[in-house]
Amino acid sequence: MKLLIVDDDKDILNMIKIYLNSEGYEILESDNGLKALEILDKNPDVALIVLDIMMPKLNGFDTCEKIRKNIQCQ
Amino acid sequence: MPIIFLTAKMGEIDQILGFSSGGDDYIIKPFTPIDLSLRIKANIRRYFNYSKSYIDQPIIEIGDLCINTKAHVVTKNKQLLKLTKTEFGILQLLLTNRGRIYSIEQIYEYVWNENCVVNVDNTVSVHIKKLRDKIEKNNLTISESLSIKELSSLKNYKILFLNSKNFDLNSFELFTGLDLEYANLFAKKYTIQFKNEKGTLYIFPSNIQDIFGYYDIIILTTLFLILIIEMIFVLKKPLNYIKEIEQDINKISNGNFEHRIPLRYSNELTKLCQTVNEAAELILKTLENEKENEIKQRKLITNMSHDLRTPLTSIIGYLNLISLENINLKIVK
Repeated sequence: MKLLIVDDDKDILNMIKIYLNSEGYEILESDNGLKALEILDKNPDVALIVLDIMMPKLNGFDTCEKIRKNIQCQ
Repeated sequence: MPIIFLTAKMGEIDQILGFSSGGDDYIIKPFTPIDLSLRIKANIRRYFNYSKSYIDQPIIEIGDLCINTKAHVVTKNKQLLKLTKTEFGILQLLLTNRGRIYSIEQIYEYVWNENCVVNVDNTVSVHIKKLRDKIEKNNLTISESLSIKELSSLKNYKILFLNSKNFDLNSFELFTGLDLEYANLFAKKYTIQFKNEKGTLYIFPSNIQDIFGYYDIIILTTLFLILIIEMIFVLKKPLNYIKEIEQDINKISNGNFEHRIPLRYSNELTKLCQTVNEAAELILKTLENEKENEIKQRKLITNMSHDLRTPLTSIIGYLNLISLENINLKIVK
């Protein structure tokens, strides 16, 4: 099962990745909202997203809204 | 797909923003990896296991009409309706896509499941008419069951229906014992009143005003009455204004500082109102300044806590990882 983790703090990103990998999930990662949207475009089979709020470029709330709008269009 | 927010912001407003922008869960830093993992599992379970059964609900209820798409059963007012397969297909198509408009060709293609090559207007509309008859009969009020054609045949007469709940024009003849044309002829001269156990039906000739013939007197009397009422209002105005001011001042003193007293006329009363308005303005400004200060203070605290919580989460997480035996330590390195 694919999960997408978005956080600008590398330590946290790494820590979550190690833990969830050990639980058997496949992890995609991004350090900002824009990159997360690109990843979602290429991987429509992502099952769940973990999203930080305070991030550079595109914050968590805006990213979330954009993801929801894209899904409604499909 | 579910979205879980991960944040050091712990204000209520941020949570509201998070959920209203489309998030499903909200985890506040610092958190442990176990907490995160449990929430991921719960959200995936909720999304993939529970949502389907909700979408595929087989029973649609609209008003007193209830349709079970799996058992192919339609009831109205809890009474079973007998529909053919085609009628049921049309009804199901329209009800499951409420608000959408279908062309006749589209209905044909969906319900008959064939490509539409010839003109099918009549075929479809016959079935829709039958469906309408079955669903609408006996239950609509008169104004709804009269089609435009039927109304136009009676347009020269004012029609008044009283106490007529379960009555449609199809049963007009049964109800009155007259056929429709005969009733029209008759009604040109007289007011007709039909009565039976279903209710009472009145048909008035359209030139009803001739019967009364008091047109001029009615108009004059109305104008005179309007004049008197207007005069009473003019005399009462200043008194009303003082009462209004009293109410407005009460509102302001009760804490509604955005409220202003409307300024009318230009006399001592107006000056008084102006002074009160200015005082309210001053209080409002002071309050706003204080609010702003408070918000600034809160922002400072949030930012500081963010900078503390994020590294703290990393530390807690790695410590957790180290303490878990089933994780290969090599990966951590």
